[in-house]
Amino acid sequence: MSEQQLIKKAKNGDNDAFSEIMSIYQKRIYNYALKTVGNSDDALDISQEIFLRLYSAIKNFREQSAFSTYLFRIMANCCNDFLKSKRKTSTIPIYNEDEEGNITELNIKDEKNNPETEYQSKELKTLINEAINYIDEDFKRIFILKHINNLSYEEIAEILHIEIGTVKSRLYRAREKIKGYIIKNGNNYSYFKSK
Amino acid sequence: MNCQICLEKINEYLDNELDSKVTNEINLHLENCSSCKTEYEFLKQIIEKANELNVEPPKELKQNVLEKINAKEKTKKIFYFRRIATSLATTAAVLVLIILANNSINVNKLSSQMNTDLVKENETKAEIVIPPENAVSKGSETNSETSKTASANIYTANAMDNSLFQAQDSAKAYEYKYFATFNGNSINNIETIKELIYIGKNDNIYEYKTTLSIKEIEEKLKVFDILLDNSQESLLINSSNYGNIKINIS
Repeated sequence: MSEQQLIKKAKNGDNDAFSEIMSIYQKRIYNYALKTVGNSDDALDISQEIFLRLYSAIKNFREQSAFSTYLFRIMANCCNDFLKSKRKTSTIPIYNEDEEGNITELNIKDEKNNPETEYQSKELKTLINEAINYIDEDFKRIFILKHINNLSYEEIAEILHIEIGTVKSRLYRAREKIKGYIIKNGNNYSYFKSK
Repeated sequence: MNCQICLEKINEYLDNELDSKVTNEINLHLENCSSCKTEYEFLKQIIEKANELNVEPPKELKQNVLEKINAKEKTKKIFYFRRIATSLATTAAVLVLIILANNSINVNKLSSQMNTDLVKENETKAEIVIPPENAVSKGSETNSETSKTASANIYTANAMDNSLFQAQDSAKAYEYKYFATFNGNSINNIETIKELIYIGKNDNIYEYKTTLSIKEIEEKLKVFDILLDNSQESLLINSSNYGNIKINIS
């Protein structure tokens, strides 16, 4: 059955069709949530909330945009709501930069106890994961949508209601920040420091 | 193409968002510039590794959502049925009120009709029951007057009771008329009144004789809406509990 048929059935209250839709999208939803909030418990809760919101809203889906865009918009809003509520109750480490956009300080949890040398052994993947957690939300969101959810500039622009130019520039900044984090914290990449 | 333009365009190049002309220019530049090539390789690695960060979602995700949806739907159904039940109950209550109102308006009409029926019935029974030889005739005028007032009360009450039985057939409603009247007055067990002596059953009428006065019978039976037959020498009681009862006053 095609995705369009599934959507039609789900709109008419077919829970099996809705279950199929969940199977198609749950990986991308969960990973976006996981990268956005940084822990699996919250990611699971948020993913559930996203699908429950979709369940309530799917009857009103007018098919004016792609279904994926519609769902990812719910996803982005849901994660945003979570971060807003979390910000009220706790402090999230924030990535700092100077006026020129260079990394000046990273608020790493165990920085004092973990000297730079410890990062040498860490894989690039681990460093990227850490970097995603420490760059600020606007850049993080676009980086995840592009490289975790594999969406195009156009789709990201539609989901976040921003211009394609803004997507490009923020994605560029996000990569630069992640690159900067890796150079600073992973000695295997020290040869980039001279650049 | 120089290094500055190449590095400016490198992100779009990595994302395949450039037209073929610019893409070819960058391809060419990267082949000849090790510095830009290193930068390109590094970013490419970041992108590739970032994509590998995808993990499988926990199995309970889908399961939990479906459970919550089912629970939601159950609550919705209960709520829906409650709403239906409430509206049905309201409709029923309104209908009952309408019926009651209609009956109250027709009480007089109904009472006169029932009065005629009852009188006819008593006349028939009077023919069946043979009055005892020693029947006392004195005082019957007074009793007759009491019974007239009393019977008027029965009819009014019966008309009201009947309204509850609109939906049932007329035979049931007729039977209920007597049951409601005497049951409503908590008729005493006729067997416990030793002054009432059972004579026998005649044409479905249980016949008793007594030396008690009408007033005393009324008090003992706790039935105050009883009728005298045409001869004024015996009492007739119709009840679904006891059937037709005739008490001869000796």
